[in-house]
Amino acid sequence: MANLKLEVVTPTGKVVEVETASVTAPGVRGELGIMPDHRPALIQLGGGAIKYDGGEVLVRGGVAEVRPDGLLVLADKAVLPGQLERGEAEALLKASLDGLESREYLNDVRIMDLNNDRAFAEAALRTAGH
Amino acid sequence: MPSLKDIRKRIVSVKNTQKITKAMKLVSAAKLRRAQDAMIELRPYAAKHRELLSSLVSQLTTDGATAPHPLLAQRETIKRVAVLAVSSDRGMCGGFNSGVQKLVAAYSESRLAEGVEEVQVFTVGRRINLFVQKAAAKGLFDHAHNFGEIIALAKEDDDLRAVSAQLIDGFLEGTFDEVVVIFNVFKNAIAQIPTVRPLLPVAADVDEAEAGGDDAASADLIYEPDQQSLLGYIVPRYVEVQVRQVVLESIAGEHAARMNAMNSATDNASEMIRSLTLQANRARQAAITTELTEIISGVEALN
Repeated sequence: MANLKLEVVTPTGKVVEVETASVTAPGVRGELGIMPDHRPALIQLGGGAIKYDGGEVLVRGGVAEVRPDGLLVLADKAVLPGQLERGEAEALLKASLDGLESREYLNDVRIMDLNNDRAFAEAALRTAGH
Repeated sequence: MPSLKDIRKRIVSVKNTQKITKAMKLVSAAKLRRAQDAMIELRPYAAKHRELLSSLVSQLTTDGATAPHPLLAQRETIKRVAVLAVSSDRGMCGGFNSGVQKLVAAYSESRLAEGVEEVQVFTVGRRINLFVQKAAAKGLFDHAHNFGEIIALAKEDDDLRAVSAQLIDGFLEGTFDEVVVIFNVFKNAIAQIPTVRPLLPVAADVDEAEAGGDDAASADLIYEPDQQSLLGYIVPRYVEVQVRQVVLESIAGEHAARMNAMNSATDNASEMIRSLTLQANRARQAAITTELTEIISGVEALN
């Protein structure tokens, strides 16, 4: 079967470019599995891990443009597992939870960003070394 | 007339200065290359965002309807304006910073004359921060917040994000009705032009031809969860990308400006060394002539 081409692009450059049989992506409404010959789609991603054959990459949120032969992920931040220190991930998780729980008025954009931060930090903690 | 010794001393000191300016020029050239690389890295991400933004906006905008996202909405009366002023941290780069300073002052003055009630200035970079603090003390405008040094900011991804987040917050909460950026556009290595660029509300320049041609393809697209939420994600990211672009451009411009300034400083030093050497030779000749005259007249006296 034909493979998918997965590209993850961030503001600071390309993080991942691989050929893979399938991709699992963290959509905002749950995990999405993408196989070759998928219908063209534009998918909003939340924070979490994009999994592909032989690896994964953590994103803080983004948009995936799906074509039949592959997908292009525009992530505002993407790191490979273990790239983010445990301490950093913990700090980020705490900051996002504090932000969400604060009684301050939050606008929609802030809430979305904080939620993405939280999911991203959780994924980083899961994959971080001890 | 300075003595020969004084002139020689000056030549040595000018030569030392020239060494420094030459080294600074080389350093700036290397840094410029790196800054330009960073700008190039951002390009595909930025281009894709612009494309998605205009395609989503053109699909969601129906004639006469309100803007599909609050960050796109043009306010009817502009009472308060925020300015994000971007400069370098260090000097020695010619008119790079003074250009931005003048433009910030001129811009806020013209807006206030137009009937805007308040201009708030946010600063990035040490130079503009110092200037704005002084100007704010005189009551020209408000110094809302300093985001710190530009180099440190560009290194930390999250700090850069905080800049756009704060501007978005202020805009959504109505602290200001419009946001512009004033910075040096990096036109090329020789020209950096201080420019005012609107940031918020986001101007989604929907290219009609492009949007129309894409209709068949976009109608077929699956949107997950839906176009509205996707737009809700893309618009703030787009603002972020623009802020990032501005910061990167300003850094590249700073290095280019410094490279040029140091280049002409090195040239000037060469010119100065040349004229000082001429002076030194003249002084030396004069000294020899005087000495000879003295000896000859001494001999003459003995006879």
